[in-house]
Amino acid sequence: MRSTARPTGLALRLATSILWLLSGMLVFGPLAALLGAGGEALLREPGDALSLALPSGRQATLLLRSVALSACVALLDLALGVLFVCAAWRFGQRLAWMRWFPLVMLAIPPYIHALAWNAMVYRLSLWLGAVPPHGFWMSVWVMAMALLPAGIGVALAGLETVSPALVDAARIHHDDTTVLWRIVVPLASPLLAVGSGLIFLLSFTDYSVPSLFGVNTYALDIFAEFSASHSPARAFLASVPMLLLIILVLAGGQRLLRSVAHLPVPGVSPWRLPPRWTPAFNALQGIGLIVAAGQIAVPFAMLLWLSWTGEGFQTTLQSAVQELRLSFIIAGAAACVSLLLAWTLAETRGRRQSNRFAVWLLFLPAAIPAPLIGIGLAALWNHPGTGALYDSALMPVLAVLARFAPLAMALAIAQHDRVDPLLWDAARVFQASNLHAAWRIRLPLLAPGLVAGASLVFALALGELGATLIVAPPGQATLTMRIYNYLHYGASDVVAGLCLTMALLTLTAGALSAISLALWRRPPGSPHLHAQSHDSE
Amino acid sequence: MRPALRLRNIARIGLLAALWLLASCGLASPERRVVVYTSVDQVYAEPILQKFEQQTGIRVQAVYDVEATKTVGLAQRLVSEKNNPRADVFWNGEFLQTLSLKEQGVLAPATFSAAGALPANYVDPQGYWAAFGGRARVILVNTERIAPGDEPASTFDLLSEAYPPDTIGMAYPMFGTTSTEAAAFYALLGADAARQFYQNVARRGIRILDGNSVVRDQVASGQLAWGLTDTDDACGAIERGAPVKMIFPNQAEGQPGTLIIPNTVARVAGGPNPEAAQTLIDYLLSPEVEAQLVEMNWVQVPSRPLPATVKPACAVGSEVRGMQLSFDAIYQMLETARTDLRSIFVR
Repeated sequence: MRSTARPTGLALRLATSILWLLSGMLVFGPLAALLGAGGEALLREPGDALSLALPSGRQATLLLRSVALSACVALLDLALGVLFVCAAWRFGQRLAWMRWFPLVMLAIPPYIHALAWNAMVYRLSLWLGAVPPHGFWMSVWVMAMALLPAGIGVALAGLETVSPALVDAARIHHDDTTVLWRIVVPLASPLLAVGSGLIFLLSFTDYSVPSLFGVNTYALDIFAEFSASHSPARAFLASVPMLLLIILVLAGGQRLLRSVAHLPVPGVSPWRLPPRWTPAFNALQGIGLIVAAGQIAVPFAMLLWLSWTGEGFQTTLQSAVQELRLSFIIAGAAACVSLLLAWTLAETRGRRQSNRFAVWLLFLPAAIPAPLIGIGLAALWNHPGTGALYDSALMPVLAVLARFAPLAMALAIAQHDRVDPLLWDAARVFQASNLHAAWRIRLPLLAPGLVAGASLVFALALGELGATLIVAPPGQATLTMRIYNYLHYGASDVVAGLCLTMALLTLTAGALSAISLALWRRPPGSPHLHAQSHDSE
Repeated sequence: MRPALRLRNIARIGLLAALWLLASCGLASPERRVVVYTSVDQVYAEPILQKFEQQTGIRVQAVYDVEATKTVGLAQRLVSEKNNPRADVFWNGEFLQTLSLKEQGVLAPATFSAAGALPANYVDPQGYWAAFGGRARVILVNTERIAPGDEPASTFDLLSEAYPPDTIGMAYPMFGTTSTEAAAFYALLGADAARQFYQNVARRGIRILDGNSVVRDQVASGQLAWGLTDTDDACGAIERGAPVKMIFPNQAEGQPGTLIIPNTVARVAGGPNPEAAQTLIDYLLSPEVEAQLVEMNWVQVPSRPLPATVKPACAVGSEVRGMQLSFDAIYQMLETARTDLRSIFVR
C-alpha cells in the first residue's frame, strides 16, 4: 500500500508546487541548456552525434572498465561500511556518536586521499623492496578509501533504520549473527542498494584518482573530447551513456525501495543490547575497523606531517580566511536549500504516478561532467537583466544544487519509502492541521534521510570544483579552488593545512548538526515514541 | 495576516527588487575595477595584480584557473560568456587557448604599448594578443636515480632502451602544455611521423600521469627516474631542495630545440571596463612585471633582456634554443594532435 497521507491545505499545496518548480529549474535548467545544444548538434550531424552517444570500440572498452571499477568501489565500500557499523554496535550507545566520525573525511577531495595513499604505498614498497602497485586494483582500493565515509554513512543510514522490535523478536529464536544476515541486512538492503548506487556514481564521474594509477576511464575520455573540440554539445552527447547508466542504477534502487516498507527507528542501533558475534565475524570486523582507521590515519598523518613541516597552520589559515568563509557559506546554503527541496519532494512522493518518472529524471545532472553544468548555468543566467545574480556568490550555490541536490532528494525518497504507510495514514487521521502534521509528524519521520542528504550535499559542496570554477564570481574563490591551485604550485604544506582546516570545520559543523538534531527530537511525541507504540500494537 | 502588515511586506519586497535591478544595471558600484581571468597560478599572479591595484587604484577582480580542469575551465567560461562578457582581460599562461579564443571571436584588438620591446612574433599582427615571458618544456631528472652523464637529453629518449619505461613519466598529451608540445611535434615532424612517435611512446608503456605537477612530484620523490614537465614545475622542485636536475631537451646539433611557452595577454571583446583593461594590459606587458615574474619563478625564458639587478629564482634559459615554429603553425595542428592522442592514450 502506498502512502496516502498528503497535505490538502491550499497554502501547503501552493508552497510545494512552487518548490517543485524551483527544484525543476535548479536541477534541469543547466541540463535544458545543454540538451538544446546537444539536439542542435544531433540535427546538424546526426551520424557523428550518434557515434558519440553510442560508444563502440575503444570508448565501449572505457565504459565497461569504468563500470567495473565503480562497481568494485561501491561493493567494497558497502562491505567495509557494514563491517564498521557492526563493530561499532558492540560498543553500545555511550560511544555511539563516534561511529559518525569517519564521515568527516568525505570533505577531503578524493584526489588528496589518492596522493596520500600513493605516497604511503610508495614508501612501504621501498621498505619492502617491492615494486609500487599501480593499475586497476590499486585504483579501486584508493577510490574505495576516498569514498569509504560515504560507505559508512550508507551502512549507518540503512542498517540503523531497522526496527529494534523486529530484532528483539528475532533474537529470541536465533543468534545475533544469524539475525544480522537474515533479518537486519535484508530489511536494510533497499537503502543499502540505493546508497551503493550513489557511491557508484561518485566513483564513475571521477577520473582523477584512476588516472593517478594509470587507469583510463570514460569520464576522462569525455574531458578529452571536450578539451579537443571545445564543444559542450559534443561533450554532452558523449555523456549520454553515463546518463543511461545512472537511470538504470537509480531505477533499480527505486524498484527495490518499493518492495520493502516497514517501521523505522532512525539513527538508533536496532540492538537494544550490544550484539554478540561469532569469532569469525569478529575477526572480519577487526579487519573492517583497521581499514577504516587506515582510511582516516593515512591522509590525516600525511596532512599533519606536511602542515607541521611547512609554513605553519596558522599562517595557512590566515591566508585563506575569505575562501574558507565563502566555501562554508556556499556549502551551508546549498545544504539548506537541498534539504528544503528534498522535503518537498518527499512530501509529494507518490501523489501521482508521473512523479516517480520525474524523480528519476532529477538524478540525470549527477552524470553530467561538472564543467558542463557550469556552462549550462552561464547560458541560463548570464544576461544583462540578471547580471547582479550572475556576479554573486549565488551562482556557485546554484552549481552545487544542480549537481548534488538530487542526491539529497534520493535519500529523502529512500527514507520516505522506508516508512510504514500506516504511519502516514495515522498521521493524516489524527492530525490537528496539515501544517502541524507536516512539522510534527512527517518531518520527524523524514528527518534522518533529510539530514543525511543535507550533510552529503554539504560535504560534496566543499569539494566541488568543475562547475564552481565556471561560475565563481570574479574576485572570489572557494577553498577547493585554492587547494587545487596550490596543488599545481607544489606547496604541499599549504594544501595539507587547508585540507586539515576543511576537515576540522566539517567536523565542527557535523557535531553542531548532530546536537541540533538530538535536541529537536527530544520533545515528547517524537517519531521514536510513535514508532515504539506502533511496535507494541 | 493584517492588511497593514501585508502591505509593508509587499513594500519591502518591492524595495529589494528595485535594489537588485539597480545593482544589475551597475549603478551601485561607481568604483574603477577590472576583471581578469587568468590561467597563471594564483601564487604568481596574485602579487602582480595586488601591486597593480596599489599603483593605479583600480580594483582587480580575478578568476584563477586550475590544472585539474584539464584546460576546459576558464577558456570555456569566456566562450560561454561571449554574448554578455564579464571579463575584461585574459592573462593566459600559454598561447594556444588565446589563439583559439581569437578564432571564436571572444577577443578584441588592443593597443600594446610595449610591443616595440618584444620579439616580432610575440605580437599578433592584427593586435588581438601579445606574448611575453616564457616557460619551456624540460626534462626533470632525479639525481639519485640517474647517474651524472647518463641523463636523457632529448624528448626522443622516451623511446630509448636505456631507460625502463616504468621509470619515465609524462602528463596526458591531450591536455595542457603537454598537448601544446605534442602539437608542436606534429607541426615539426608532420602528422604521420608524430603520430608514429606517440604510438611508440604509448606502446612502450611510459607512465602517463594526470598533469605536469604530478610528473614533478613523482620525479622529486623518486617514484620516477625522469619525466617531461615545464620549467616552473621543475624550478619549484629545485627550490624546495628535491634531488632533481632540469635539462632543456633537444639542444644538440640537428635537434629541434625545446618548446618555449610564453604568457599571452588579450582584451576580451565587449568587456565591461575597457579603459581599465587597457591599463592592466600595459602593466602586464611592462618589463617590471616580467622581471618580477622571473624572480618569482613563473618565467624562466624572458622575452627581452632584463636588468642586471634581477635575481632569477631558478636558472634562466636565455641561452636555450627554442623550436623554430610559429605559434600559428602549432595551433593549426592542435586539433589533429589532440584527436589522435586521445585515441592513442585513452584506451
